[in-house]
Amino acid sequence: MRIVVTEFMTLDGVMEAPNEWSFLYWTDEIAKFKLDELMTTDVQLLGRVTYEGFASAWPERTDEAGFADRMNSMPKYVVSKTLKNADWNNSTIINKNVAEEISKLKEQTGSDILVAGSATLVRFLMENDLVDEFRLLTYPIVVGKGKRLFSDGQAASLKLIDTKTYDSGVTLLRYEPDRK
Amino acid sequence: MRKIIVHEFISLDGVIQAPGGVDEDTEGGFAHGGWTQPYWHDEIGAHFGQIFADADTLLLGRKTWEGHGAAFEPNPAEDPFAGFKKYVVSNSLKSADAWRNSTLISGDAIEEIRKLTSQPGKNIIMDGSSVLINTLIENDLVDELALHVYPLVLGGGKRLFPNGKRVNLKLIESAALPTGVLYQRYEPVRE
Repeated sequence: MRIVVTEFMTLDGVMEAPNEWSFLYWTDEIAKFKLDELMTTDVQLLGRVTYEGFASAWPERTDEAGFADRMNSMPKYVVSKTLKNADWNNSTIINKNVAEEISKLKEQTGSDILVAGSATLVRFLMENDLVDEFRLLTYPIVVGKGKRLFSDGQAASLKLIDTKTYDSGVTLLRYEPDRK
Repeated sequence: MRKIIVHEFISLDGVIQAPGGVDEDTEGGFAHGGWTQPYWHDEIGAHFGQIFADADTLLLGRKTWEGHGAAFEPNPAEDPFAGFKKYVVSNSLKSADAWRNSTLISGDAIEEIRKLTSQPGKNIIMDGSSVLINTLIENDLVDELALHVYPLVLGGGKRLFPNGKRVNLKLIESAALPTGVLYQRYEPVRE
């Protein structure tokens, strides 16, 4: 399976709290992209903070398109050394040999392992060359504060594989690692 | 009214330091100077041509002005800004003689720049100048951001956007180049 990192990001590189800046630019096309993405995902891999946010929001939700059902039913792996319980349906905690456990996941047959949010985990995955694709929905806004997707000391050469612009001014940037 | 157009080469993590050369700006121990070079494409030059055609003035911070001046003052024939009026913002410079056709702005730079934008003329271009651009963004004086976005995460360096300022933008152009560079143009949304 491939690891796909999918993010909402501002023009100044912030990924934190997209609920505070992304709604204004939401379109049906973006909704369709996110739905299609989830439907072609077999597994979600999350950091603790994003996992806890999702786990407190999704179990209560339903929608006609089946997005919430899929979120709730699919297997979730949460990477954390401190988390004791992962009660959201179909969740597993990875708390040791993290790179090895994730590599084992990747060796399983299937489509995509999706990583959303989870900046600290993304950094770890990049450092261990485990990311196969980045999908960055880049919003036409500068927020001036919040956690950045790429923090200091995190470096990568990428290959642009596709772009798409949405009517609201959001740009989807898709990159693969440039493994020369 | 004439616009202030900021052009930058920018990495995916928002860094604009030393895009063109190894020794361009090593402040803070920056070791990635010249990061744009492997991705050059003639379209990038064409984008510059479009911006230059509608501009007659260059507005720079001291360091970028000094860099451009050192490169172009001895080589007027190769100076892409030869026909431009240049303004350099600095409180430490004594004169702007180091590059022809330059004027020094010191003191209340924001007020002086507002005056500049209200004078008749073509657009005002800025590049590099991270400190000055931060100040202009904070004061809502930037009318367009023309960004060449590179497929690189550099991991640190001078960034384009200041902390603490929220700006809503409108995407006015998006084009992908074959070398993986994206050309993104934005305007601020002013209500």
